[in-house]
Amino acid sequence: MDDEEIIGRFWERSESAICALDAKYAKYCRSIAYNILGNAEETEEVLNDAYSRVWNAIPPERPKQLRAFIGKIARNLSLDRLAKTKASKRGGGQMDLILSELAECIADRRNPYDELAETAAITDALNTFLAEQSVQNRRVFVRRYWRAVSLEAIAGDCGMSIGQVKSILFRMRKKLRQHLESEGIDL
Amino acid sequence: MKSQTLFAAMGNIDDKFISEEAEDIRATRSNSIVAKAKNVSRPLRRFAPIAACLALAIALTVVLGQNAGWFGSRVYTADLGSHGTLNFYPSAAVGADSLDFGVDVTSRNLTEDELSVLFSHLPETSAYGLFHAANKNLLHVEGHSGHTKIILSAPGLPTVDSSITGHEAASELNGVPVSAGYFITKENSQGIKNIIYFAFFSLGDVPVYVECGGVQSENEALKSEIALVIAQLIQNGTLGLSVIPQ
Repeated sequence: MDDEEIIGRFWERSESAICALDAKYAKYCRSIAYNILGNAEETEEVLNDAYSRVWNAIPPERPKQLRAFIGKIARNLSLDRLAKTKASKRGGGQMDLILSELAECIADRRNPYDELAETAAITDALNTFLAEQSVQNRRVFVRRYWRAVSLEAIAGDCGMSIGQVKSILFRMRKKLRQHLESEGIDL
Repeated sequence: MKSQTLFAAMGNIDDKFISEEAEDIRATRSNSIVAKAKNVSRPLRRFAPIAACLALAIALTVVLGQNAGWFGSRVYTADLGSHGTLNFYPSAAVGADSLDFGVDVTSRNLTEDELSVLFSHLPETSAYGLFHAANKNLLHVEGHSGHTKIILSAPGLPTVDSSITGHEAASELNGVPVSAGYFITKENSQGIKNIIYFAFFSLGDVPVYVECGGVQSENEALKSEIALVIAQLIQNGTLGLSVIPQ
């Protein structure tokens, strides 16, 4: 079923909309959530929450790219859940490793409130940065730092060695740091 | 700024980058790359005619089926719940010689106790082992659980001597990467096609190959069986072939 038809069912408030969404995007959303949370039970809860969010969002939304729309919802819900559980235990999935990798791109700030104001600017800078990269490098970067996929899975998906993936990501992080500095993102 | 902030900001990147990444997965899965099943270079020494039937079956499949139309273009998925999801990608096997470990070997059937060690909780198991003739170490095991063939080798040794053409993307079951695929034969004289599912993974440093084939009309049952065998082997955990004495 194409995205237009699924979105149409949401607009009709048809109960089959959720089933159609699940049939097409459950695996995708499940992989995003599990990569972040590392816990199957919480992953399923996030998935159900994501469907609920989509149900409440459409209408009035009519997303142009349904995969990205629900993917972002699943990702954000996973991060929210991870933040809640992080106090009691270490983050699951790939998160600890990914955050330590991204730490190379930035330095700690003293004022945490400045971080909130900068998020939109950071996103704009990320979009500009990604647009300037080669297709392959961009896909590897997005796969790692948006979908939190493991290095091994990225290597398998892209037909590369793990060393090649690490090398690409290392160079990308270095470039990203330079790009953030050039965009005036205060590090 | 903390890395969490950067990671969160990544969440709002342009949808086109997210869709591009997802499209790339689907495109990559339909491309052919050669992934060698062999994981060690073997010296040219004594010949051990092992897994000849398997090698011949794979070679015949290629010789008779070297036709892009044979090989399905879809990915078959086995959902194993909390263990993960296993994706089988369309593949083909190319060429095969008999497996050669480069040493003299002896063989015997494994006992029930030994089967329970290697294939714990798997039904209807049988297997034989190949042992190094000199030091008596277990080098290779070929067994079955129901319709599923299971092949183990000692660390550093190959499981099967064939190259697999196809997409070797790894699924993950309980954190273990599994490369899985399938190929479909041409119709035989009765108009029947067979489908052969296979997978490679490692348990600790022991390479494992599993295979399950049959008539294509039993596709779902075959896929389920091999997926459950794989999941159980992974759940059983790291294998130690050294526990099996000659």
